[in-house]
Amino acid sequence: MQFYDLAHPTALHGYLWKQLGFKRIAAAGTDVKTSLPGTRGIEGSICVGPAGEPLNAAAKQSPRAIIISDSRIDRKLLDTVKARNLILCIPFDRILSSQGLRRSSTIYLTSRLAKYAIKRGIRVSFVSMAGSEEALCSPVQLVELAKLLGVKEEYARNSVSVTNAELIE
Amino acid sequence: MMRDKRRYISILSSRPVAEPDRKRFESELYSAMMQQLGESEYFKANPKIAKFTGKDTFVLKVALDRYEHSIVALTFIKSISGKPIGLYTLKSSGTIRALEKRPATR
Repeated sequence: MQFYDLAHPTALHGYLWKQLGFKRIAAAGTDVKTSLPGTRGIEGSICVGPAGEPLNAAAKQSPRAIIISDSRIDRKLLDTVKARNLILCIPFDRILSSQGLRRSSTIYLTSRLAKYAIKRGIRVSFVSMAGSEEALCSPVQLVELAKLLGVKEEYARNSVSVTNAELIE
Repeated sequence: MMRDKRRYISILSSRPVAEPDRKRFESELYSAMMQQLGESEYFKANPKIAKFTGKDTFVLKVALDRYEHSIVALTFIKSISGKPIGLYTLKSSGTIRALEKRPATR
């Protein structure tokens, strides 16, 4: 099984990704286009924004995937994601960069979103979206973090492998 | 007497764990893990560095039933003695010997 990840270019120095066991870690913003709702160039990009009408409108412009930055469950938005067969990307950077009660609350919100999306049949991708080398995760860690959110191991492994490959290639 | 089942995890550190500081690194890693796991879970996981395998790699021994908790705890550790660190779990196995033979990402 080959694994893929998405991170900020600031996290990608040297060949650490190879040591970690990834086939490839793509740089967000350079290898894979990212966009904000209400801006140009949403098509084919990963659109990042809080749940709400602007992100829902962006989801209708054929992005590759969406990231709900506040992890809120917006049924209308998720209906659009499902209808258009988009990928819901769940980054772990906010879980890894926070601490204590804030981390706990972030895990709770992200877990609810992931479980709801999977139940609805939406394709969910788990990425580190690391901003620094220290924030990178190995494939084993990505799978374990997904399991922490209540995702089954088989789904998590498939997501880090197949769905992530589709997301970045 | 039944022996507790253990799991060995091969870990890569983002910064070298140099020889004179190894003891210090070991105790600081344990306290960072205790902070993440909580005292009772730490006691159950009972993490111990089994072997240093390189200047930035080592093998951590944990209780089999707390293996997943331990990996998440290691992922949450982002600094040791005030310096940023990334601890990446590469592979795991039931014995050190099998760990050395096994390919990554298992």
